[in-house]
Amino acid sequence: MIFVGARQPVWVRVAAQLIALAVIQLLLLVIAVLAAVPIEGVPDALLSVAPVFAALFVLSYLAGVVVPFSEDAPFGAALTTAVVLVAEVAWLAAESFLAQNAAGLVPAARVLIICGAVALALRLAKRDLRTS
Amino acid sequence: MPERLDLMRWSLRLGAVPVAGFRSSRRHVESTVGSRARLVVLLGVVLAATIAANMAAFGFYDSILGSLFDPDGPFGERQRAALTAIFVSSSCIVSSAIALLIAMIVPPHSRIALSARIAGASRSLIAVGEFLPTAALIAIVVIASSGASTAVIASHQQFPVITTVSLVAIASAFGIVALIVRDAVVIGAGLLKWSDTASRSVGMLVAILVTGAMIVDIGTGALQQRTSVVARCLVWLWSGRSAPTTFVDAAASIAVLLALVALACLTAAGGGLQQPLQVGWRVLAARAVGRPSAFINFVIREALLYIRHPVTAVSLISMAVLMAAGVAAARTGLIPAEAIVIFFAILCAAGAETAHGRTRRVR
Repeated sequence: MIFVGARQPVWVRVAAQLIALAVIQLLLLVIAVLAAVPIEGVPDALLSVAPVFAALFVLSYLAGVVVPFSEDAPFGAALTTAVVLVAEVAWLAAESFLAQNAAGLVPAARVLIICGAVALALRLAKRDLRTS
Repeated sequence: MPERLDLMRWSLRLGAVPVAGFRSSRRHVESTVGSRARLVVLLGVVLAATIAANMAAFGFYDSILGSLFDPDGPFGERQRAALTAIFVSSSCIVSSAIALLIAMIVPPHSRIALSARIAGASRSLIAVGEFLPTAALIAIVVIASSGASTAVIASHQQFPVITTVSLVAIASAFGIVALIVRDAVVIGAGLLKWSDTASRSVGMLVAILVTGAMIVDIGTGALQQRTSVVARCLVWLWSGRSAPTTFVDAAASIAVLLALVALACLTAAGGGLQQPLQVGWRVLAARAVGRPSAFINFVIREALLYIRHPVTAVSLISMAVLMAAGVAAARTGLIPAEAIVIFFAILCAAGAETAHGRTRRVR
């Protein structure tokens, strides 16, 4: 456990975690897409997948905040991963349902889920980060 | 008389370490599950499910495979040998997966090694004594889980007891191979001065990958009508037979099992069970990029610490391995590129749950 930035406000710590992680994961995503897709199709592929990635990314962070996890508790880590996978599959199913029945609502739903998940994560993260 | 006393002390020591190791593992699982009552209920449910599954599997295998072993059936001698080899090798690989599950449940480090060393037990005696309960547990679970398939194969052989003993021994050996792979990687990572958590996680990851590769090899071998590596090894061990039928086959299987138990004890004694000293983490500052603002400095520091943390490092390694597999699948045309891109998005997003956990207060 490393307590960095304990004097920073909670929202700063959450924002820093999200930005740092997003940079690393996006870099990995771009490298993987570059390797898998022909070069001329890379921008379209990244643009098409960016909203889904953003929603899933925030959902995963939220799952990590909700479910107890520490490196000393392997079952907790496994449970976190299971919750993340369930949340991701549920989101993809919901998006697919919306796309078939009310395609216009998909962007609004994405914005809603991202903002709602960030707000909830911030709210829940206060409990842990304030004391650490 | 003194020799006799020495012998008694030695046997007591040899017995004491496995008993203490078993109790330590039992208490660890009890504390993980919550209480002894919960563990008993859980074991009861698992036992009932295992018996029911074995009964159902025996009926299923017997109806499907009855014609396979019938001399007057539709299968020729070569087809029969090939299908038997696939069946036997598949049931062996299951025990590797079971052994890895057991390895996840039992304590990651020895909780009695230090006490036993102070009491005068040698390092090798502790390694043997600690590994024996694990080996026995693997054998029991292998018997419980693959009882149906073993019974079906054995019931159609000339000497069912010999076949049963051989199959249980060789299946347990495969389970122990998975543990040896894990321990060897843990030792190698320890020599590279990796952290304890990262070494254990990467060891488990490599063992799972090796087991997965063997499963894929058996599956593709069956589809492409070729002999898998596992089946080839087993056929070589049993002198060209696809199932063990003679006393020599049984002796060879047991010899392999004992050799692997000895090797597993060696790898455990080499450091697999010892808890290395934890090294503190340095908190980094992003001075390499000049003097950025406090927030940017904080973000860069978070990124660096995230990459260096053992759990997140393993998460990133797993991600890279799965991405490489995805790229290979996309490049060979096995999976459409659109589906692979969605898969990459899910994979990249799935690491976010570790970000908050890294700084969470341990309760």
